[in-house]
Amino acid sequence: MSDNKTQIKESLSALMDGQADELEVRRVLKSVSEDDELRDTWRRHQMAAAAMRRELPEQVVDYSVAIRNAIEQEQSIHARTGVGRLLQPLGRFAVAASVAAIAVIGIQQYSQPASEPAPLASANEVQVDLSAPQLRTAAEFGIPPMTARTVSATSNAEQGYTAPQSVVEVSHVVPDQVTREQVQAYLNDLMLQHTEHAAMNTNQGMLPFARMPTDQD
Amino acid sequence: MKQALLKFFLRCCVAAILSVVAVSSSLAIDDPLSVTNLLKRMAEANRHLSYQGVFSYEYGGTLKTVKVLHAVREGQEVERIVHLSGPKKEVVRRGNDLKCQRLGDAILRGTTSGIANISRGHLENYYNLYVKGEDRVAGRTVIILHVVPKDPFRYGYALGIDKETGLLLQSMLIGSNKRVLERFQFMDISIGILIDDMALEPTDTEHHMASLEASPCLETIGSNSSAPMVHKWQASWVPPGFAMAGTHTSTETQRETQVFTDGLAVFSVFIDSDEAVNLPKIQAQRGATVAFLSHMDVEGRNYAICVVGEIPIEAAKQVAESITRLQ
Repeated sequence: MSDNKTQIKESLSALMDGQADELEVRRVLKSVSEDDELRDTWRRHQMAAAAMRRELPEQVVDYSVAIRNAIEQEQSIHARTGVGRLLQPLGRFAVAASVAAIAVIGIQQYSQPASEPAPLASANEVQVDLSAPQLRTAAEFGIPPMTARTVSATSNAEQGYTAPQSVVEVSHVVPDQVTREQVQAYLNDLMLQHTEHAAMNTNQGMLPFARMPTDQD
Repeated sequence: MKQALLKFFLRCCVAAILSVVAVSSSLAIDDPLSVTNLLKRMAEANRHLSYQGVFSYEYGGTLKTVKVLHAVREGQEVERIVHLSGPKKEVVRRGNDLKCQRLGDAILRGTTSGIANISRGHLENYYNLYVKGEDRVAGRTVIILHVVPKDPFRYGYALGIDKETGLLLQSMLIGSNKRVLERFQFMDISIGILIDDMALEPTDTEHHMASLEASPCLETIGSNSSAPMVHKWQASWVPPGFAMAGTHTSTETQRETQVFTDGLAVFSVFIDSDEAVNLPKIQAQRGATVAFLSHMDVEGRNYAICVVGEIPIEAAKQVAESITRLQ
């Protein structure tokens, strides 16, 4: 049984990568409909993939249980009457349509955060760091693994930053005449000047000029 | 008689051990791969060599590619930096005399004698330095050097220094919890080549000309210099090991700028009385660079104080809050 499960999970990974053959797809779909654990695995894979594509919404809502219940209810209603039996295909179509609608809404919700304009000194560095191995050894950094990823220092939950998105924290009410663009422009100006100081004083050569803010940031 | 012989033998032993120690320590000083020599070579190579290459710079999920050309003309550095991805950006830096040593430069090279508060082994007081073997970057062999901070007021580095020339080819900035905040790495580089004058001219009319002010040469800021740096504001606290590398007051905006370095990290303090005072209190971060802006009232006038640098935000905040007006 456990061997079978491992196999199914392998097929699932293959499916996620678009590498599964037809037989595997069928087997996965069949198993997923029967196995809660496998369904959970699939969901986790999808979320990880979404996170890597930076499409993860702030709040993940699980529709699957509600949809399943709705389907079961409808089936039991239709099963009761003769007319229901006639309407059954129609009912299935309705269910399929509603699933499709949910899927579309879901996608819109998923992609929304990515298309939002980046506020201030770059909220576009929001990172969902699910898998990156951290560089840890007792006293030193250890040899960094190839997969080491750069992360924003503010996405450090251990230091009590609850929302990694709030790259810029504004502590009191912003006066009406001050726009975010003004704040951005001021900070960019200072960062540009700082870049020059750093270039003259660190001897890391050109590196400070790579940090230099561009209009996009 | 026997005792005398024994004594003589012991003396010989001590002398032999002492000479071995002396020889090995002098070897350590001359060893081109020792930590101090690596940093010294890095500081020199970066300014004295001609090179042309493309590097990548990565932070928080953003990846940029940048082309750099560096040459020396009549004892002065000429540098051109072109961003190859994203919005157009071109920087040209000229007129930096090779004889001019700045504070950060001097700390790395160990030539800080006579400067207050900075001893020869300055960096070792604040960082643990480890040579971690070799790796390959841009097709060249690099020595990996790990620079681990001893206190929470600065970041750590994993540096890849070219074995042959000493040029910095790879750098990772590492924050608390051993998180990589930014990564810089050459993909391709030619070192010691002739660079055509034309290639050093900016092609973009919108290019930025890097300014050299606020970072004077050491002769002008040396401890026994008669003209100390003029500044109206003072940070009563900076992280240990940081010293002022320069100061500058803009005649146009009256903005006062102060630059501090510990040899590797740099932060700048800006004091503004212009429209910046209308800005809210800000705490911002991009990659490794943080900015902390707060306000201060002095004699009925409001000032904006902003600390920008590659240091942890807590350190920037403490510096900003320690700024006082000099009488």
